[in-house]
Amino acid sequence: MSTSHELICQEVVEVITDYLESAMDARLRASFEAHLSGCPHCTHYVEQMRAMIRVSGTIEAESLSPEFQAGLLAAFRGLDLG
Amino acid sequence: MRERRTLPFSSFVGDGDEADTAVDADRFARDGHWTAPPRGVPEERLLAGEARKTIEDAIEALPPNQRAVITLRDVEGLSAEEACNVLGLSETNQRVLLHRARAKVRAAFERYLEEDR
Repeated sequence: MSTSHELICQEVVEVITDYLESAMDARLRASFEAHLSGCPHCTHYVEQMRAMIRVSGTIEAESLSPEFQAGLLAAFRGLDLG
Repeated sequence: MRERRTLPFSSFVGDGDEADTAVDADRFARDGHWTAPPRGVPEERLLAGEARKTIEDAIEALPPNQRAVITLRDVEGLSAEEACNVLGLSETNQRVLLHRARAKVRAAFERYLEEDR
């Protein structure tokens, strides 16, 4: 089988993190990129996501509330991996 | 009884957030194509401190596990591997939490972009 699964928009938004994290196999990556090249809407979605990540990188961690910083690691004590 | 999700990412990390989709289902037609598509990002909207504030507030409003992951990854700039080590998470769980976190913060960011448009 040489034909790969065609992604639809609603799937694109659910696999975007795998794409941005380079955690996609080559076939899915090809489908993802093929979809983007034909879909301006999903291209905007990716653009918004990348812009959001870029702006996040300009936040000073110190500006996050102390309650949050204190709770950052504590949060994981109760993590349920079930 | 726990609700089952149809998306593949769901079952790994229980944080009370399993029913979430990255984007509200009502923005898609039944065939999965956008009916209310996202629009482009005007560069000048990024420069405003307001953009940063919007994102900051959205991060603080996240469930604790998602907040921790996105803060380490996107604010502090740690690699996935480093974040896994700091938080004692598997690679997959780290990615699931990052996915949920980014989806919500992007949604808040999009609402900001759509203001005064």
